[in-house]
Amino acid sequence: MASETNTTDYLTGGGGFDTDDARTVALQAGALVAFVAVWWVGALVTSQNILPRPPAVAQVLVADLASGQVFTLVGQSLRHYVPGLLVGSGLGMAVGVLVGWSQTADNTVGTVAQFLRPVPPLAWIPFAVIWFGLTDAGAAFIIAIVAFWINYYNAESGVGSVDPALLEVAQSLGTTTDRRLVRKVVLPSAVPELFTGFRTAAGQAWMVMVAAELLGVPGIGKHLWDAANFLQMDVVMAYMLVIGVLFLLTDRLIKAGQSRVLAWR
Amino acid sequence: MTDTIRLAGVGKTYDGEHGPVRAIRHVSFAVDPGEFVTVVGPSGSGKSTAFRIIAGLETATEGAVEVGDEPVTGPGPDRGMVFQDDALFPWRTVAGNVRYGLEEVGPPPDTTVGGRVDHCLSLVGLADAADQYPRELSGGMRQRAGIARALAVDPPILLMDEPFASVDARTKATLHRELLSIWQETQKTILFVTHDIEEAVYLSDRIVVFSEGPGTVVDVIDGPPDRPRDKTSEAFRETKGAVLSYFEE
Repeated sequence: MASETNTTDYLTGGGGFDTDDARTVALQAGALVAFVAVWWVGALVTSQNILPRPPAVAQVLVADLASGQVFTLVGQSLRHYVPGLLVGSGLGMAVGVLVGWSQTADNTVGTVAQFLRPVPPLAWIPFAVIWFGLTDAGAAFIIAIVAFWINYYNAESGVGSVDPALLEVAQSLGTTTDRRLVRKVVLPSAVPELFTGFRTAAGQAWMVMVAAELLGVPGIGKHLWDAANFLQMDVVMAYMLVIGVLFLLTDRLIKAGQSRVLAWR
Repeated sequence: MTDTIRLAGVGKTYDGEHGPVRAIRHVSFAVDPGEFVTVVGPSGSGKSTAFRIIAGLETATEGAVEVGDEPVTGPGPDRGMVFQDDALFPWRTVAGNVRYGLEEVGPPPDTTVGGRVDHCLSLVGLADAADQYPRELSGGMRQRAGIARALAVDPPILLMDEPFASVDARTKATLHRELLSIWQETQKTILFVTHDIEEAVYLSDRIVVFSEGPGTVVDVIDGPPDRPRDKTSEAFRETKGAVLSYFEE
């Protein structure tokens, strides 16, 4: 009887954190295996053109990794992903902070923003083509618009939620100008929201990148569309997975930076 | 001396949702240099409003407020502030919080920024916690850090709004003793706001009693003559009774 009780304890996680961790890992691995299994079964009962089989997709990935094509394509995409994300985020944060802090800016710039906000970013693609042509700059423009809005709203709300008592204390300690208040109190206290905005934008930017490359700007997205035109669904699926991995890598990287910078939280 | 606080006929009326709301009326009292004066009153007596007007965070709608013979026009480094909610900068360490004012107005004459930070931290017994963030501190330690931050720029006046209202009784007693020794060592003028009558009697040279809202000064009572104070003494109980008599129906 005694040994049976112990076994039950162990199975329900009575053994402590190690058991919980093992359980988590097992669940995660199980979920991934189940996902691939369902995909595989689905692929077996349909045709290769509707749902490619896992081994075919794996074959594409292995071949393209070996030939270096994956890295070439990632490099091409990064040429507009990085500038688009950085420029859009930078402008979004700057304008968001301004609108969040100054009532005048809210009434003027904020009003215009409310008009432009409902425009879907992809609706700007015609202008991207006319203004920038089929270039990295055109794709970066679309990515920047997405990044701009996400960062804009996070910055605005971050600035708006600054504890007024902190502003009062700063003034009693000799901070007199608005500019200095923003630099010494408003910005540091909005850093968590700024980070959240940037992290969300970095993820969304991968999503929109595929659409932005539709114009014909080389990169993962364009490669994916070209393959789809030839019904090479295994290639499409393979590069969907590549984008997923890029998303996770970017997210983890920013999250690591976040916990370093926000150690005070 | 230039650090006297003087209120003459001060009133404050807010624009409320259902018309004007009068928070305080005809408030007149003065605090002499080096004095420890406490404002006591029930909640809603407008004592915090009076505090915020002296601090320069709000403007009076009637009367005059002067600090050091100058009308108050806004907050400034001549009046250090300590709040009930400690209002520490959460992204700065304890030392970083104390350093804030020194970065803004520079260290007092004949001191360095680093030396001043160390001095203020040891004054409040936080030298060992210099590198900790506010979230890592207990309520009592956070209040000590707030006091050190206010003292750093060496203001002649310290304004304290219910600073110990949310710490436990034992910590509160310790903080009272420490505050009094800091006051005696630094010769600051302290204006302290509280609803705790025993706290007021224990700490103050004089107690300014506020009535219920719209608040006004109903009496100014001298604290017990002895220091350090004995909470069981006859004088202590008498002073406490005198203050309390204004709050009993």
